[in-house]
Amino acid sequence: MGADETPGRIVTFYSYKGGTGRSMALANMAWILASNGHRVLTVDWDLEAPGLHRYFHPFLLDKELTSTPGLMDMLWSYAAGMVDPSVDDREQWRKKHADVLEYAVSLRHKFPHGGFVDLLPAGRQDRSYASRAMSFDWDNFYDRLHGGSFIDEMRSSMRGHYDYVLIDSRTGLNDTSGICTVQLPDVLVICFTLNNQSVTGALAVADSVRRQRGDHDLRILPVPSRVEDGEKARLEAARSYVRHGFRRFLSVQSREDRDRYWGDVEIPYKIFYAYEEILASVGDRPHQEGSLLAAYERLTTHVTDGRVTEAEPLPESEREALVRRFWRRTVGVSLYDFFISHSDADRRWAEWIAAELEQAGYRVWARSRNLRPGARLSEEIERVMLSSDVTLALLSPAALRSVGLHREWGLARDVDPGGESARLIPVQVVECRTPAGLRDLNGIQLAGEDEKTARQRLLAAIRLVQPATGGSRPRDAGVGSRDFPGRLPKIARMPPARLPDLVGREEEIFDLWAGFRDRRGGTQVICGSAGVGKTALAAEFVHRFAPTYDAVWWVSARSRDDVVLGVVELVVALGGAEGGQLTDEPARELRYLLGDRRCLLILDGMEDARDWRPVAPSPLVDVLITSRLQAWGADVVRHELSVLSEAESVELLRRIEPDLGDGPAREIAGRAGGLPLALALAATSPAVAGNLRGDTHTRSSGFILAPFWAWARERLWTEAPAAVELLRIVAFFAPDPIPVSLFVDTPAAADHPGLRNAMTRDSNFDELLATLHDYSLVERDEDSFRVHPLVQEAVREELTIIAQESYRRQGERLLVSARLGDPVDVRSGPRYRRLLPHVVAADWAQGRSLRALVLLLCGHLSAAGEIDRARSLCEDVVARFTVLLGANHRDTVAAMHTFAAVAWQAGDADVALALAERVWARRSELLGPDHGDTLAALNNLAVMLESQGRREEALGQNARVLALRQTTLGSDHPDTLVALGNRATMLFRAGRLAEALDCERSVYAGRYRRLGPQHPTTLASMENIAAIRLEMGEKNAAAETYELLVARHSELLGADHPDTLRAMILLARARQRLGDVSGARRLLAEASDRQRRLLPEEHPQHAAIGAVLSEMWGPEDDQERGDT
Amino acid sequence: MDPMVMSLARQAGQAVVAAMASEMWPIVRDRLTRLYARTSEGRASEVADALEDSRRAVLGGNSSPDFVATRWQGRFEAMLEVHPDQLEPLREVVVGATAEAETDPGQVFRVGSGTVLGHGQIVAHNLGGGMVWP
Repeated sequence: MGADETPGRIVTFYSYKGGTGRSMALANMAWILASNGHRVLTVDWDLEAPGLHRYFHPFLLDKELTSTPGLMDMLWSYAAGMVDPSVDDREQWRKKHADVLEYAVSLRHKFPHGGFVDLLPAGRQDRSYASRAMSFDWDNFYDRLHGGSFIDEMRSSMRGHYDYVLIDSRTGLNDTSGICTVQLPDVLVICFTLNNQSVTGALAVADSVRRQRGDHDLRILPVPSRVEDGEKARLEAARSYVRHGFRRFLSVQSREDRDRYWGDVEIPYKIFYAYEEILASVGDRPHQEGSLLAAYERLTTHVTDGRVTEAEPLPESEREALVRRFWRRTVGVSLYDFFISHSDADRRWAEWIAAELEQAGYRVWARSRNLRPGARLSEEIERVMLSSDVTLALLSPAALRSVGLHREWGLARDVDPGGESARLIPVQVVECRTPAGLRDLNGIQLAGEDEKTARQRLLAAIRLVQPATGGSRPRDAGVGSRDFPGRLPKIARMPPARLPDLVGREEEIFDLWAGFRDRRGGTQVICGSAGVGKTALAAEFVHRFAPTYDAVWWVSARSRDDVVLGVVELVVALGGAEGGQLTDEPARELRYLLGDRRCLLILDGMEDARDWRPVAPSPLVDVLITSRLQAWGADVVRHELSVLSEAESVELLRRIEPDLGDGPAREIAGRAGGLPLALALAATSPAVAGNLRGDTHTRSSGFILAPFWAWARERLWTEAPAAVELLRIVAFFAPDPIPVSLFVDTPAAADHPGLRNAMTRDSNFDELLATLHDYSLVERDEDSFRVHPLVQEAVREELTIIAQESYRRQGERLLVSARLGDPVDVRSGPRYRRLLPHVVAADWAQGRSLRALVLLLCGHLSAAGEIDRARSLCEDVVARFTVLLGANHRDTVAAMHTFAAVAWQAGDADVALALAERVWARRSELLGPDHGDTLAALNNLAVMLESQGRREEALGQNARVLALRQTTLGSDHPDTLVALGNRATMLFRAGRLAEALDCERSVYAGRYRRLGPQHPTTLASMENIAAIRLEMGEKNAAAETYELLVARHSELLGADHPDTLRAMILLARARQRLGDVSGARRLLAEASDRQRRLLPEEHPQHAAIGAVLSEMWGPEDDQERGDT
Repeated sequence: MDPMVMSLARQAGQAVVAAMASEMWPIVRDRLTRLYARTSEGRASEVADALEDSRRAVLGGNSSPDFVATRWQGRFEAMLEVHPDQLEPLREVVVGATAEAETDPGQVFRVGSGTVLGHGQIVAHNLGGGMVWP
């Protein structure tokens, strides 16, 4: 390598105090530069504490530099030569001695584009190094041996041979640091941490260097290092102090450039790098925001004036291999091979694993045995974890809930973020769902295995990541328990079957476990309807936790005899009942036999809550009951099992039938209503799946829960016959929440006297629901209840056709007599919404009352702004009425009338107009031209004609409606007022403002009297008056009215309702006319923005109010509008 | 008073008002008239007139439907107190009114001139569309 045309650049890395990550920054920058094809020399000038070579050890043959000479040897040799009288041409001699190539060693790594990194070490690291370094006489070197010239010679040698020379300087203020910071560099990088002493020292050095070197030929780059996120306020204070202090040293001048500089050069603190010397260019993946590598790349950009901006990435395989080479070195210094991170519940597992690993020659730390008394837990664990090679995370339901363990795993993850060096291994000891943060790591599965398999699996896996060091002999075999914690107890009667496909229920399993942990010897019951998976959950619990007990006993407990027999069998298994003599008091005997052994007794499928009490054995026995019954004593912990979510249902189906498509799976899941029994049946039996999918109409899926319903009905028949009646009525409802008010408001609708009686009082009805809930037949909310669709099917199926008809009618009666209230009144909204699914589920085309109700719901939906739903329901209604009743039936025409209005509101004027014309013609024919319904059709038709620009025609039709209504209904009637109000609008649009105002004022007065000031139509009239007065120039009055409207609407409907937004936009328009342009703009911007955000894109109001908006923004404002 | 009686009377009052705008009106009116006739011969025509008066008041917009429903609830309560045996017949009238006929489903607020089915009217806004008043 010869001297290049441009001399190299010398960059010194200095820090006033140690621990700033200075060498780390240097080593990384060297790597980044070399990876871009540059020739780089690194110099370890920290002569008293050399350490730069540690960052390069995988690339050095003489890793500890015990035989490689360096700078110190160079200086001594020069000093010796200078006093050697035999040397004559000292200039030439000095030049020769100052050639750094003589001492530099190259890193053994092939960089791209011919780049390389050389290291000029501090000196041979042998026993004499320290004394040689300490005793070097710098004064003599400078004063008598022309040391200054030698250093200059070295400088030009460096600059001649390399593109970049990076010097790791000594800390503090002394001779050597003086050479590095003042004499040698072109660029001085000053690293400091954000504490006072470090910053003040750095500032003082910068000052002194600047004084000695002058201003121009040395660039100073202050670099805050090891910046920890933490206390934001203090961090910001420190940052602003630094920025202020160093501002005069920065070569960049503009404020933006300064801000960018500080943002760029800050080096974050990463714990991964805090304990090991590993290059970030190897440890970090390339192009990761916030990584150390990225920080060093930014710093390099500043040092090279933008010539080098990022490291050329290593191929991933090479990077992984290098990471391993870096780590290998640390094996020799770590204290433990394994750190076992475990919860108290898994203590036996931790001890067993520790013992097994020690037996195999590993050194192991486990909290349950190695924690020093008095040590601060978190610090001790952090310390041990960082001095262990591998962390084993023991996973169990209990461990997943431990905040402390998640913190430990996070720390282990931090040390090895990519999982390259297998520093964190999940070990599943009790079955559970692996937490998200560990899911990408390959784990070891020990749960559910026998001792031999578990041991083999553990050791085989461990050997792959960690060769045994043999550094520690197995401990005394007596330490800890060596019993295999996964072994089933000797006395065990396990559940008949364990479902391989239990899905979800992790929470419930943990709750059960925690229940027994918190209350030894307590009783817990899993209750819920048939098929919800109670037994499966109990079986799963037993399988997971049986090893933690001394005895586990599963009893199928339908009757009291079953329970007694089961307990007696347990007594026998424990060695009691000698000579075949059965005791009268098995519970007492059990207590005696168990002693202090832990026992789990499972009573599966209990049908009477009293059955278990006589045998309730002892506070030492954990009792787990499954039952359909919900009512248990206060001393029993109840877990009510609910159905699976759609996602869980699909997962369950997939587990049984992996090929099931997404669509069918979802459909079956929906019909099975999340009931595991139904799902499992559907997935295993094509016939059931067909039924659930609705493929066949011959058989429904009611048979799935038929036995359950038969069982419950039998009991309810004597206990509460009204409950049976109620369930039969609601079996024809939708599986959505049914409002209780539907029943207590209208008791007359029920045929059964007992049910009627229950419906007359809230408390009676509540009691009835409680009974049904006790049998897991309904789920209850505050003021509603719901029935599972498969329960509904089972109930329906058991009825004769005639009985079905009768219950269906009762249900319909309930629906049509429900108290709903004014459909345009927002307060009735919830009542309509809750009724809707049940009406849709009913046979709503049959019977005039239901037909009226379903149309009313369409109207409600449209008034509530749910235009789309209203429209699609209307379409259905028209279609079904047409098929069932014929196109010319009055009710079909009525449905078309509603459909027309909804379509008009949805902005579909053509469809609406065509329909309205047909409705008017048919009604004229069917009912006569003067009938109220015909006039309602004509009223709507007139409005539609007007909005299509057919003004004269519209006014004519409107006049007809108005005249007829005035004579038949009177001029104050709400219907008359509707026609008059619409006339006012037509006049307004025709510019006949005085007439319009006159009409609208009568309308407003009439509605105010008849419907009250808050009624939506009264407010609509008020809004129309304001619009007229604004056009007439009464701007103040109009603005005031709009203000009032905004207030009323916000209060009644909420600030985000379409009506409120429209009023706001109109208010803005009035203010603009008043000259308050900026206020108007602000309001308009807010309102139109909210309208855009809150109303769905297809909402008709966008179009309806569009003209107003474009009038207000004006064409010259399009630009501005586009920007907002 | 027996809650059963009170709730039935309330429901009957609402059913009467709901039937007023429907074609079921003559049937409901006549059934109620017959029911009262069974309790005392002389009351029948009196009741029929009162029912018609109420209907006129409601449809003409002169009386609030709620108010009229409450008044009839009071009359039914009084009648049932004296004639508890009329409980079941009254219930049959209510059930008949809601089940067979084009009644306004539980709506006592409506004061429109048309039938319940499809009387929704558009109330136009001067600026920005309009609303449908079902």
